[in-house]
Amino acid sequence: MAVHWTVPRCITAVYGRLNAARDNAVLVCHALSGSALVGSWWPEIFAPGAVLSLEHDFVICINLIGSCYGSTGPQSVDPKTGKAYGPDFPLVSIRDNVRAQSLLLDSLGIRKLRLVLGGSIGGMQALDWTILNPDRVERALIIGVAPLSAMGLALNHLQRQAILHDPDWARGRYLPQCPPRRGLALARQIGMLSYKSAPLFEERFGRNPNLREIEDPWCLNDHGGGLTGGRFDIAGYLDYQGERFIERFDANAYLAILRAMDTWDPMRGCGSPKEAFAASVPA
Amino acid sequence: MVREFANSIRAAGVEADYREMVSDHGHDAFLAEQAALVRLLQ
Repeated sequence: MAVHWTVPRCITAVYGRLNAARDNAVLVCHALSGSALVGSWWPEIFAPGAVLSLEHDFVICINLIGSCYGSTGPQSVDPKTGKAYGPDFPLVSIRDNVRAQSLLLDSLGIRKLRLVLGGSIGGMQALDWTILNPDRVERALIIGVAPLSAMGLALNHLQRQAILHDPDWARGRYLPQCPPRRGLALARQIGMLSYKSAPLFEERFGRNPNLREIEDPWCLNDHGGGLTGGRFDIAGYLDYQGERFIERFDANAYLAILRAMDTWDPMRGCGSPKEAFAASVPA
Repeated sequence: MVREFANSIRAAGVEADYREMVSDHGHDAFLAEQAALVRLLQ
């Protein structure tokens, strides 16, 4: 039997200095569209007196496998075929990522984390750390985490469908110069509905027309109204978020991480929460 | 959802403390309102 071993690359950012006792390591786990550069997307946790200290902590952040920010992902070359994995990239679960992260820490000689933390998918990783390696984690900060609800799964389904229905999707074998931009932009916009809240949208946009490009939702047909009219402010905002996102993210990577998010459920296959979290219960 | 999940973890016997912040930013608050998050975590 031929076994193909592929060692994933895990791009890692580190901040601060590992002390001689190697007991000041902190692992920060990033969310869906994040990167290893935690200092750029979560700067305030490094503020004086906040959560982390560059003077005392050795902060590590590892890019998710499947992402498009350096770690092995759908854009990487599959050594078996010599071509990009594209849509053949396998499901790499949150738990798989945590296993890879713990191997990486082994290689740095870090036995125990003073702290592991993250929000959203980052929190899923942090929680899995406490389940898989309870003896290697002193403390975990798990922010905004639960297995996805039916509504969460629904919104992820629509995001996936948006990408798969893009005329440039090409079953995931799209060329780098011709990615499914519209599908990915729409997916991001659908995602924004669950990241933000209805009160925030109401306060910021209300029923205002889109003034970024001076549009009139009430305009009549003979003034360019057509079937859709001009956009409201919220529509202009969402479109803008979609446009920004496609400049920095890959559709296959997005799908890979959505799937890791969908399938995360520490209670799956366990009879009870007690069984699922048994390893994390102090003896 | 998150609160229920946290409660089930605590009910399982895990040493855990649950804290909540109120924000119009919803799920994104951990990125959008970092100062408030830091206060919550202290």
